[in-house]
Amino acid sequence: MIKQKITLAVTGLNNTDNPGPGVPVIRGAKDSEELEVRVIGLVYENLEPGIYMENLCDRIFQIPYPSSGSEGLIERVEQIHQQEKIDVLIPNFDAELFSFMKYEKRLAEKGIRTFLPTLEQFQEREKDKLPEYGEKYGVKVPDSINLGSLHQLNEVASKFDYPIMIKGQFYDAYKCFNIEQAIYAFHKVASKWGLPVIVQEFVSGTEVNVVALGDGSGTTIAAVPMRKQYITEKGKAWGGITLADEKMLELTRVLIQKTKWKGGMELELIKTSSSDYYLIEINPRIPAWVYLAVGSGQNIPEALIKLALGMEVKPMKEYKIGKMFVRYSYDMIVDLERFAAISINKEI
Amino acid sequence: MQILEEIKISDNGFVFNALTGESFSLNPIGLEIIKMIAANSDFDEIRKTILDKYDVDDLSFEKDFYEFSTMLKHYQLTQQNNPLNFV
Amino acid sequence: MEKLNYEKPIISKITAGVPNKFGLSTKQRIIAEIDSIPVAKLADEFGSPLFVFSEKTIRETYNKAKQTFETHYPKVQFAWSYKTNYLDAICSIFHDEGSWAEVVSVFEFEKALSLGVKGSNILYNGPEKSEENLKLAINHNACIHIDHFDELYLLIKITQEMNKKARVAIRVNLDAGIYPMWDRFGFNYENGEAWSAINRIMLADNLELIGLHTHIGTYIMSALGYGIAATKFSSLMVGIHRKFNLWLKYIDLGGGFASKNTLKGAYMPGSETCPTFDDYAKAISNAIITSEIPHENLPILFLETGRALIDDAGYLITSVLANKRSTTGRRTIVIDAGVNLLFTSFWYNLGVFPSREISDLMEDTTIYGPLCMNIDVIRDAINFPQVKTGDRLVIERVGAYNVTQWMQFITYRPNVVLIDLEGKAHIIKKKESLETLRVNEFNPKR
Repeated sequence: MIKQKITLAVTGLNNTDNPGPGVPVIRGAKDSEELEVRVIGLVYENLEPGIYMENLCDRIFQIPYPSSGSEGLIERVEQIHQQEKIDVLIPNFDAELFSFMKYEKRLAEKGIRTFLPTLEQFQEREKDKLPEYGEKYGVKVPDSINLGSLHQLNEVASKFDYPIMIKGQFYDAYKCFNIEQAIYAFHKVASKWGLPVIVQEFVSGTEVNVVALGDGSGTTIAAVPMRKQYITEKGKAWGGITLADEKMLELTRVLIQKTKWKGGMELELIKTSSSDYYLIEINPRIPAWVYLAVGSGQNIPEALIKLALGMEVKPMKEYKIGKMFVRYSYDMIVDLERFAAISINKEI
Repeated sequence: MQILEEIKISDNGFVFNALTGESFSLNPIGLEIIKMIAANSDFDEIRKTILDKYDVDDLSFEKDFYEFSTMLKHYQLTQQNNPLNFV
Repeated sequence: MEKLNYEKPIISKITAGVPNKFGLSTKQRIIAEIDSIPVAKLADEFGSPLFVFSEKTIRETYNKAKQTFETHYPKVQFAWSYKTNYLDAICSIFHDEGSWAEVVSVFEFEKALSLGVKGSNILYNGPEKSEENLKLAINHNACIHIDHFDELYLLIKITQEMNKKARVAIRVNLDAGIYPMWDRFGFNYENGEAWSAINRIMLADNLELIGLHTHIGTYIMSALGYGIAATKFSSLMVGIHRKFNLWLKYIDLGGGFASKNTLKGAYMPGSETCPTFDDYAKAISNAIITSEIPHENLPILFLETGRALIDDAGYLITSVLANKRSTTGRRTIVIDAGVNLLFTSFWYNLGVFPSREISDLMEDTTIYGPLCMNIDVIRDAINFPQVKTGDRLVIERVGAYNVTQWMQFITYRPNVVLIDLEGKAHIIKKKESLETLRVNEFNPKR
């Protein structure tokens, strides 16, 4: 079979102890039997490990952070496109999704295709709106209160038993066992992520995750459930194993069907001892552990690329159960020239 | 002012300090000047070269050169003298 | 031989990193002119620093807001928020466009009257109204927005003594899902305090209840909050009608619409995330129109938006005084406008731009003002190109609050000019002088 040649641009090559999904996405794309992928790595910083990995990217370009304005980011991508003809772009950072969603049309007109959730899908899943989300789509979520000020914390005590979870709007979560810890966590989270601070009922159980891909019309193209076997201090999985859990898959399929989710996603769930599932978070993109799905039979990055190109993709139902991933760190020996090139010329 | 031996200057403006492991970038005119300093040109020679070549007045260049050499010193790319040795 | 263009020699340290939230350089934007007048010409003619307002931008922004709201809702009335900018020339433009006045002090009340605003077209807000102030408002038939029970009882007493009617509304605070919730102004909706106040007003012979007012917060980035507020007000209106057979004339949803400035700590620039007038208008009108209020009794929607109407129309031209290096090697520049002129720099990362094409070599920079004080920092971190002393810079989106909250400190406050629709610049507030500053000073003889 002749492979179709395409050029794929990917961000998030930061395979650190808090890894971005770029490298596993590229690995998945390169495993494809239908596509021959030329890879353009898009990096924000000069030490992203993906820059230095051999046989990963064909070209590498530095791009400006979206925080300095989406316009600048998009213009840089268009400039790279003129030179390299990008067919599909997969952004992998939460912080850049807003910009790429906003300029999706403009990029598509130039021939750069993406496969992203809509702005509405993106916003309604935000953490401080989780209770409404749960109600709207019929999934169990932990009870929560949005706090606008510290004195509201007193109301919390009458509503929840300790421990409680204190969470920032965008990031950070602390488990608190008493009011003192809660006050401390409130200040910490509020100073970093602003108000509201979210207080969530603590649901005890096992944390399980699903990586999935929705086609935008309600069909689940891929879904693989996993349990984290070891979690680092930063809350990232260091090892994980695929599960045979029809309930989790059903929950995923129903959610994707009701929301008509478009693109990659990760569901974070708590499975209680009575086998209830509570949705605690939805990440609107492919997670860093996606290669576990590829390795167990569902090549999500490849399927996403094909969807972006408008090709037909049949839902994948099978995957190997009990497959594991174990992360490792590895010291690459690299030359200063590569560092100099990305730092000075902004491209390699 | 003398650039330390361990400083490697590339033609693309990349500077590597092998003593500290730090790297720096130069704009083209910065590269031109640091090369002259490395070749032991003194300030008068550098000033003459730059003033002949570029559209800049004497005092402005002196001011910029002073700031530039302060930064070279700050980044420990040049021989360090005792700043309180008032000679 | 033709000489080459000179650029200052620069060496900068390459910081090795994995992604963080601080930015890389992008192409530097230039603000070379304001309404077709070169920035350099304005500074030469009127001095530096210099506040510049664009009448064109003011009128365009106002009309855009007005048209947007009117396409969604049949009865809309803007009231210019004096505290946002009460320069006579600025207020006059808003009044010329049809804005009423929204004032929060007797000074602002008097200013509005002096500009020819009819007393009945003044909304009198705020927690600070003395007996004397209230009498003035009653005599001018203004709409008094009552903030608390003490004020309500004072009004009952005064109107009895004067044997005159007062037109009143109540300020209500409510939970619109906005954090922090502003519960320090007005009567609370959720705990029934607002309903009690309404009942008391309805019992008072000399108080005529005509409206409801709220102001859910400042710099509100979510249009949804306004929808929630409008829904709660609609319920109150229906309740009032059911009990007293009265349809209130207006609801006033205050201001608080965000401008395009970027709040400190925000990840994305404000210009990209701030809701449009359309978003606010849709949220509000949907809530009122889908309520139980019959179409013929729909209230007038008052809006007191200030910031979103004037921020973009104001610029500050400033000049570079010095380039310096801190002991850590960090680049700093000193400009001739300090935080005393730019109150909003305490909460925004104001946009600072060169006024002419200069080197595109950017460096992380701290911009200091000229005050001899450590807190005088205009931007603590901005990617900025190399500039020379005397270069003119432009700080944009400074039209709201700065020329009302500015402080006179160690020197004179600068000229403020307005560029009219013909592109002509007029001084609308003259630079202070020793005489104008001293006019109210007295030095006792010894």
